[in-house]
Amino acid sequence: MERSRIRLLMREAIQAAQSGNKNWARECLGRVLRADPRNEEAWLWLSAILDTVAEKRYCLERVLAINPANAQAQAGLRYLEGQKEAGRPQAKRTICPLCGEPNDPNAFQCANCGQDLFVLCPACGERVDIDRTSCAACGLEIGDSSDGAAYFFHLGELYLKHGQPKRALDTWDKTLLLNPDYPRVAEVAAEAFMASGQRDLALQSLERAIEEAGDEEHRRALRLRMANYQRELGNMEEAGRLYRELLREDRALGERRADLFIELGRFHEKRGEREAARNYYEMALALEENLPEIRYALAEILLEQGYEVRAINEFRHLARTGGELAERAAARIRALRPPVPEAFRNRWQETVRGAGRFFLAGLLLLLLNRGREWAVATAYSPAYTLNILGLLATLAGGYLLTAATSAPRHLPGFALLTVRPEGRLAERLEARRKRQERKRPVWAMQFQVRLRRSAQTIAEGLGVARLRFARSLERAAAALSCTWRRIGASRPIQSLRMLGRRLGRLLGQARFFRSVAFFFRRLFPRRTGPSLLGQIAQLWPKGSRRLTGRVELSETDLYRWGAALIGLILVVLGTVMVLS
Amino acid sequence: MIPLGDARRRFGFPWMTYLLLVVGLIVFIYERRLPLDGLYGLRPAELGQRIWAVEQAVGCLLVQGPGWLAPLVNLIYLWVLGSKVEDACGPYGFFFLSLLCGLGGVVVAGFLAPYLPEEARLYGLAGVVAGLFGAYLVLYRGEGIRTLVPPLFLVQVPAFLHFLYWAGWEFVHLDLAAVRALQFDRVFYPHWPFIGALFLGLLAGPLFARQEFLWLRLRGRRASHLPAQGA
Repeated sequence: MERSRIRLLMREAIQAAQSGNKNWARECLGRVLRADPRNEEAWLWLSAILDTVAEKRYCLERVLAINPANAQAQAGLRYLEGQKEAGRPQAKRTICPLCGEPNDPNAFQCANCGQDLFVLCPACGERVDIDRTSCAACGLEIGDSSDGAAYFFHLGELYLKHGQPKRALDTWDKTLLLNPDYPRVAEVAAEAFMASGQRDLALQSLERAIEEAGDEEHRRALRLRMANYQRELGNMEEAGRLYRELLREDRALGERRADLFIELGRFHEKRGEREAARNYYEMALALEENLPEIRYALAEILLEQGYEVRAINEFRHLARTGGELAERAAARIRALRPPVPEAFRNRWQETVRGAGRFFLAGLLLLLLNRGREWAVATAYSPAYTLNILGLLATLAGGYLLTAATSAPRHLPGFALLTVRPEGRLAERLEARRKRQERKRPVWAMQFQVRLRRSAQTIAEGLGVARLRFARSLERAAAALSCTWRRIGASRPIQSLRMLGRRLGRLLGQARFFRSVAFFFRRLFPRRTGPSLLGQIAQLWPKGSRRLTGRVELSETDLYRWGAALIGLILVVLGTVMVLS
Repeated sequence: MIPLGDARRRFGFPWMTYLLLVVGLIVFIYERRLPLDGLYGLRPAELGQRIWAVEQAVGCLLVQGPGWLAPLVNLIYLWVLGSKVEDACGPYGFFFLSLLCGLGGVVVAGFLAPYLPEEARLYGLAGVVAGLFGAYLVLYRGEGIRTLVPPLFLVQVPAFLHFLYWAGWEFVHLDLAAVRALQFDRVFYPHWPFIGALFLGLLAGPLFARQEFLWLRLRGRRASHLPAQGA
């Protein structure tokens, strides 16, 4: 910034400060100090307009740092010291976590090393004094600064968790300053580098973390993460190599891990290899059921591949678990299985379809029974009339049955019955309904309720038993798999194993036993709708309101069932006449 | 060309198809030891003469005839087509549809009896398969059947081409002795009446289909998420 511009800003700031507009004065001085941090006059004016003693002291100290002979700054500091000694008892000193120097409790920076004596809260961004263990504004637990390196490490993790990777990296620098051998810094730094877009540094850092990892399990986890990073960076070849290595090692150890299968599924999904992705997701879910995201991804793949029934089963399983994914799954089910609209159910074609089935069956039976001679005969026969009447009866019966059971709009007179009655008829029906209600004894109601509860209990018990049985079969299949491997690994039949290895590779041992396990799962699929007993239990009325509804509809129901019965009788009669 | 079909279903496991397949396999094995021709093997001209026509016709549906190639081809097509048609019609609808188509084939055979050779025999499973072809063609219009073309090609072949291919198996009886003796009436086996079952399937397929299936098809959702090739 030009000198003239700085002078103008200074003049503006002084006028604002003299007129009491502290905010604008602070803004102008801030701009001046950003352009010229060694401006004594600006620091002095800033000390004048700031409110807290600590901030005033900070500004005056900066003036003295620039010009130790500044008399105004010296006087100001003396004034502040005098005020502090006269007004308050001596406060506790703030210990710098980096150098251990005891500092004034109002100081912003360590007098010895220049370390800030406050941190910004990772969650809300407010200033938190370094001697406080939690944020006063949001209550986030930050930690005790006396822990040194551990404090900064934890703080960095909090920054990373709250989406501030660069600040996290700055904080971990301090961890390394205090303890250069502090564990896991390279590992978390890789994550922060990845989040901040510094991909090369992320990979380098993770490589170092892998080298430093002492525990084999930890090293495996880091290698898996390396493969994931490579996958996210688009280095699919390298990622695939790393995944294959891990898979090979797991197989050699005889282990199957859900986390590797999940990542392999994501890897193949990213490459567009749906079949392989589905395979790995299914294996992961077979090992661990509670993976909602994976289940959702699997359902989407199944849907893309056209396995709609299986996809809907997975969505239904998800919908029962609750949460955001459950809502999404429920929405997918609604989209995939929209209820057939009433207009479609009641269209005339449905009635024709229903009656047509019966007519077709009757006609075929007639032709089969009578044969060619009957069809081509010209002479009149009473049996001919009987057969034709039978065929017509079958058609009429089929029409009544279909209209009564599935397309009631085409049942003659049905619309008249469904209209709510008015006037004297309505009063009579109401009175009859009330009489019937009164007649219903309490014990019958109680009996119904108990029966319904019992049916529900039995249904639940059977469901649990079925699940346990299915799980036992799965375990048995898994145990069989283990036994197979042990037998294969024992010494006496090493030679047999060598001979059978080629065949085993061809068949794929793990795949074979997995197939067995999945076969059993398919035999006992998860229940997606209510069971038979559940359905029976639902038939029972759940309260008095349902009972009232049933009584009101009884006229209509009676008519429909009556029509269906007549239809059935006609069909049977017609069939007999056709076959006579 | 071996039809494989696929497991893409909309409504559930096709247990009725597998039940029929098991029954068909049992009959197939039984027939190798003791041919059922004597009682249920149907000569069109003798329909209803030995036993009641309906009983004979229903019994005939299980009879698969001599040899092993044609019955096995029929069973494979029953598996491939049956699972899809059952998905569209439901298990019971599928069962009655199969029964009607088989009976339809027998009825047409009875009507054409004077025009067929006396030696002609009808094996009912072929009628069922022909009817299922008709139902498949009308219910899955435009969809192919996943097929293994030896040695290793998996392709979608239109259902109508499959029908022609299957009809070839049905109409040409590979009796090498008859070919050598130039007895072509024994080579070209008269299964033409089952064309009647095909048309019955075309007619009855929509009659027996589920309401939900027709509704989904009407909404045009059918092909929106189904991969076209090689899934």
